[in-house]
Amino acid sequence: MWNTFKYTVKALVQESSVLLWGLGFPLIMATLFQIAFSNIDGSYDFEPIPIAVVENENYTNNEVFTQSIEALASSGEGQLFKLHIAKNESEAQQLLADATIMGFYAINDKGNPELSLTPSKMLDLASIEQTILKSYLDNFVRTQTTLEAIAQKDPSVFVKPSFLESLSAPINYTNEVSITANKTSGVVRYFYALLGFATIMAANIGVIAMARTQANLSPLGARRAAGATKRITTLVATLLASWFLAFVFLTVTFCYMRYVLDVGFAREIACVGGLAVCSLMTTALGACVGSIPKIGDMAKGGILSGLACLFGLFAGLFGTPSQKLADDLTRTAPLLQMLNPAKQVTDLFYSLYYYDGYVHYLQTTFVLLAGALVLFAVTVVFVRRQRYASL
Amino acid sequence: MTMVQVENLVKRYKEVLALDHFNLDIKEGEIFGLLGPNGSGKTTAINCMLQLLTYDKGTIKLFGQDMEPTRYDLKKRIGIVPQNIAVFEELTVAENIDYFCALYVKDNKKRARLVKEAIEFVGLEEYVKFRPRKLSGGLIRRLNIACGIVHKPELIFLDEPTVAVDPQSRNAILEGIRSLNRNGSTVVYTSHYMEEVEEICTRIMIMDHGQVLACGTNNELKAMIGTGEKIQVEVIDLPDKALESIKALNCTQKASYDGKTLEVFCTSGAQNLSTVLQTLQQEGLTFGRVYSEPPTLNDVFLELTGTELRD
Repeated sequence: MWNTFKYTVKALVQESSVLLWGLGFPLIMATLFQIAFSNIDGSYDFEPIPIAVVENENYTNNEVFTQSIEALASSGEGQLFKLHIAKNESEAQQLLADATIMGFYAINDKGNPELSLTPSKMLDLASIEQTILKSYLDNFVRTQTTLEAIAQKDPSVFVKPSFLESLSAPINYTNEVSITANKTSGVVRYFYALLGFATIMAANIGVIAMARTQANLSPLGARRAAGATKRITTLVATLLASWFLAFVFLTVTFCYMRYVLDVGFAREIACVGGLAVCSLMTTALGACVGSIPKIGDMAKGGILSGLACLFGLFAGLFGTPSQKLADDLTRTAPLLQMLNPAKQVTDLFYSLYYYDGYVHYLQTTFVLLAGALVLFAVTVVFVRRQRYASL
Repeated sequence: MTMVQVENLVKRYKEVLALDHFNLDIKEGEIFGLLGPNGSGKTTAINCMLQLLTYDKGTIKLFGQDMEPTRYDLKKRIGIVPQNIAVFEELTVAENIDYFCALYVKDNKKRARLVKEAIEFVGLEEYVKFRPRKLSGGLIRRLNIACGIVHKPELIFLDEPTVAVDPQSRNAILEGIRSLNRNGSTVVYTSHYMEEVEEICTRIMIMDHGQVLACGTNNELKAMIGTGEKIQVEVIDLPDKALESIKALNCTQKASYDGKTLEVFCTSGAQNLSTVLQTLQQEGLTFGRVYSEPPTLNDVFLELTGTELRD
């Protein structure tokens, strides 16, 4: 058993197609994903908005606005602005034209603040930031107008400490609450789907390993079948070797994503446990496809590639339309999606990342294990024969 | 002791009858040759004996016991050198031999010794760390043999082990087979090269279309046919009258002329050559080179089937 395991691993790890599809391809794809999606998550993080103020006499005279702006530009958790000081309006315009800032405030001769924004052709790129700039100004003007109205009507309220406190306290109409265990990321789903795709591609290991054990599939298989080692021993050792290699390949891919590309994964130990289950599923898939009689290795490789693309499509690997398709199918035909191992692998990591407990993780793990069991059962049907009608 | 006993083996591939009531009986210590053209059923017979193929009818006994796919105790005593190279392309020579040895021998120390001996036996000492793709055709064949005989089996099936090898490797392989036999192994050797079979086999079975045509020692097979001597004479412009004179000789079984060479198949006799040459002289013909040789297995095959031993 040990010798068969050892030499099967040794032989498979030197087989170029196993290395290419099992390890090389997922690593290359992950790298390309990283390059393609490097800016997507940036849109989910808030960065202080670069603005300028025109520091003239009007500005220094409007102490309320000056203090407000400087408070919001002071570094810390609540920093809203990254402040540039322009000596005059033309300098501020130049900063705007250079795209150094997204807008600037200037106090007009009447003492009211005015906002100048990025030229309209760039609006689409910076709409959120400019909306914030405009909202801030609207809010400031509204508050200032209210205070002036109160001062004219009932100035006595200004002496009440509670009123002053309410003025200095920030007004929050909404409270941000995260409903997921980790920060929302638009990218992780692609990488999880890629792990699902890599899992299917790793089935190549099982296909090749299986062909080498079956007398009707290769001369080497025939030679081994005629040997004095029990057939079940050879099969179990070969499947263990395939599982081990698939597990190593998937773990390397996972580590590359997690620690080199810095893709968000949660509860890494559970992730590795999940990879062990994924490896078992892919070994079963490979063994099943590999043991189909009367089909050549090339055709079997083609079948696997086709399955990987199909499953990857419904796991959301190929962009937003693919993800929408996957989501629609999950809503309308959840049982069908349970048959998609790539989707299950995606869900497995998704559940660890977004859910607090282990219920979804264990459910997905169970589905993958059940799938592996069914595939192994089909494999047994194919390989149960001891002798063949032809070789 | 009877090592291999096959009775009335019938094997069909759909409409094709690959083995037609095939019988075989091989005694301990023999080098038994299965001679026949490609597609005659040699490999099918071996694969049936090894329980890789199903068969429609018949019984197979190895070492006097019924052979079944799960008779690992019997399989332990068998060595197999298949016609197609069956090694791991990614493993080295030493690793391949060790792997196949481990199919039979579990003890690590014993296995290490056997692997070393097998490497020396086939002369691959300089190539132990080579992978098969780096080896020549002859060296790969030697590796294939080493993998089959490493566990020192009592019965060895060698299925066309010299296909596509250079003469030097072929001689080394044939000498190796003799050596295995001297060391106590019974050998079943299939080939469509009759010279090889003639050279090393103690007993030969000629088969075609799944049927046994003849079986015996080299001399016994040749004695089965009427031809005792084959004479070839180079003659320029042999007239029909002269050919008829040759055919009319008492010793002549048949004679033919292809425009350059006169070929005469004679019965056994001491004077055949001189009688043929005298007849040519009497016809006033001059002749060039003259060859006289006993019949070959090809002649036996030709006489038994009416066709040449085809590749």
